[in-house]
Amino acid sequence: MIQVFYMDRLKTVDILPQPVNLKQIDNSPGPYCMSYGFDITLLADSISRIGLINSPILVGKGEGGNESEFVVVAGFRRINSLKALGKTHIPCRILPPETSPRKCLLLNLYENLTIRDFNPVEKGMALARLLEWVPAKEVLKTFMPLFDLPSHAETLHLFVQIETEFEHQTKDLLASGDLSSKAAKLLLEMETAVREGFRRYFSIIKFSKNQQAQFIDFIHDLSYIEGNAITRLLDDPELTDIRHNAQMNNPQKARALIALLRSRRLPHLVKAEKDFRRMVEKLALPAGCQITPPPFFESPHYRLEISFENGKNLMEKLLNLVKKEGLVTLKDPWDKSV
Amino acid sequence: MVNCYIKKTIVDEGSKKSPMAMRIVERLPHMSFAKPSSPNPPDSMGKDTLHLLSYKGEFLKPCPGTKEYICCGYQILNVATNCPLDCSYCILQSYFLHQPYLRIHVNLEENLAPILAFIDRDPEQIIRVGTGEFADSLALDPLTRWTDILMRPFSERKNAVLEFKTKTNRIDGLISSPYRDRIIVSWSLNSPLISATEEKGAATLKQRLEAARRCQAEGFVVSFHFDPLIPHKGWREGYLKTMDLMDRYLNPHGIIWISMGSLRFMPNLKPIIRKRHPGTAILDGEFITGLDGKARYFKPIRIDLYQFMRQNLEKWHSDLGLYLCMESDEIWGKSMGWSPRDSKGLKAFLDERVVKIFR
Repeated sequence: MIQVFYMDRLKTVDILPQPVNLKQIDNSPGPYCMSYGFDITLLADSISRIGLINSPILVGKGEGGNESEFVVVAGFRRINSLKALGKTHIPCRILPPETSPRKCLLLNLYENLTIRDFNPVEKGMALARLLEWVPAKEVLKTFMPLFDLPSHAETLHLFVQIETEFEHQTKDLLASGDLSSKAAKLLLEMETAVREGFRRYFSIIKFSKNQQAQFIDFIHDLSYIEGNAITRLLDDPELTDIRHNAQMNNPQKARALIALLRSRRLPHLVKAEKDFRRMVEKLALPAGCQITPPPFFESPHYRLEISFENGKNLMEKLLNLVKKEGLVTLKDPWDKSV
Repeated sequence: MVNCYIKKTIVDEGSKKSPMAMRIVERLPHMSFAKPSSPNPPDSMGKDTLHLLSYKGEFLKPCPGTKEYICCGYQILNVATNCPLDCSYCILQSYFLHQPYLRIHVNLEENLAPILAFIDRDPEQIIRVGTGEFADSLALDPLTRWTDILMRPFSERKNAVLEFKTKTNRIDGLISSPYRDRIIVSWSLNSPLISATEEKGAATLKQRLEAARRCQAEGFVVSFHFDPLIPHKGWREGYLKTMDLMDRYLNPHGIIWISMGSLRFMPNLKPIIRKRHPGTAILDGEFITGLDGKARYFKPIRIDLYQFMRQNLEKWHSDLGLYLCMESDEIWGKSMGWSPRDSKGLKAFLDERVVKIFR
């Protein structure tokens, strides 16, 4: 496909730039733009220092439209930067009005692919636009790999949904990296009001990617188990208190929220963990000795960790440990046997 | 009644002349035939469409199991994939998400020879074979007549057993067959609540047990699978009711085995269940991530489930061949009072049951 496009390429280099009044250019991103969530500060600064290196590409608006008005094919960010710098006229290359939308789209795509990475929202925009002009099979086979995506219909569907179903605020979070793709996938299954509820947390609290997915999963499960709407759960005073707690920093808030939800979702496991900690505390192990349970207590093997300075020190700690009478009583915390 | 699940049939071009495909098509009068097309949306999984095709892979394969838990060493006879029943907990929903339709492997007969050769290779080695892993063994039997194809060759061999595992009462094919030896008819059971709410399309518990009673009366060896056990409100009373029903309908002597397993699933199944079965309560349990990456109930919950089941089943009869499906040596010891230690040990235990029951 890339080959075909090459053979059929538009010789844009042969089109000489000509000054265009910025007022003649459509302000909206138009049907070809694939930029979302960008910051023009750096680009504007660069242009102000060394000028515009690569002229934006425009095309006349629609069939029968006024040719003095143009749609941006490539260079939406450059045009915005130039506007911000107060320019009134900029040099642009103007494609012949008969240029097909497919060609315009591919031109923009390949120009962008060569110079930058796409964020998930931009990938969604690009794929959704490609699907208007390119058969889905070809999008899967040829274009998904260009975005570092697997050629799976499910993945394609997910990214198109990001473009078509997410509201701007959620897209903003995703484009800025404040919302992980995994969490975005979970949010796609939810209604707008529910997404808004989650956004209130994710825009303030910097969860890790795993924590975000866990947070959504716990809330989702608890809404079923407790028979409570997700939006109401998200407004639960226990949760909002943590969200607004001025004494905690961001990571502390994230950890506290996960711990709270985990204790509600997995009460027996959390109780077992607490009971086990208490059992170990009672043993009063020598300094530098630590006993930890296996993850979720699933394996039967507990772990003893001893930090020591030298062999003599290790021997002392081992002897001290052996003398701990309570050690033989250590067992699964739910085990009631004597 | 034969085709009550089926609305459409697809026959692959290369399978049209297969005798099995032709017989199935004959049993489907007034059926509309569709061409293979883009898969149905994942929500339906194409459960109303029969797809007759030639299977290119190996028909007989060992149950994959996982090294972290003790596996019974079962051999899966892959006669079909996907199932017309729609149990909310079914793992096939994720296995065959992108491979919809009720896919019937109509080249089974042509592939029987290598399967039987594998069994005959070592007459001392007992091979336990089942068709109920990737499909219900009997739900489509009125159409496919797997019973006609498979019962005789298995009945003629002393070192193999064939287990038909089902949640239906579609036993006509079994009953009309003259073969009984080395054939096990098996039902998945659950509490009345789980059966009624989470096993859509399956026969009721009573219907299943009536079918089991009839099979026992007809001389078949039967077995049962309490899998997945699901703790739910009133689960003890619920499972006791099922055991009461078993007592009412069945003779415990000659039950070759009863397996128990608790609900477990790969994480990717969870959103599929939420989407396909919005009212389900099966995901409410306290799941942790097991050593094989699957979600499982927290260990003491599993031990409690198995202990309770074992104690009450043993009150009914002391020799039911109880075993656990995909559990650890530790769980075996704590809930069953003994452990086969590893998969080899469990295989030996079940092979001994075969020898004992079929003599």
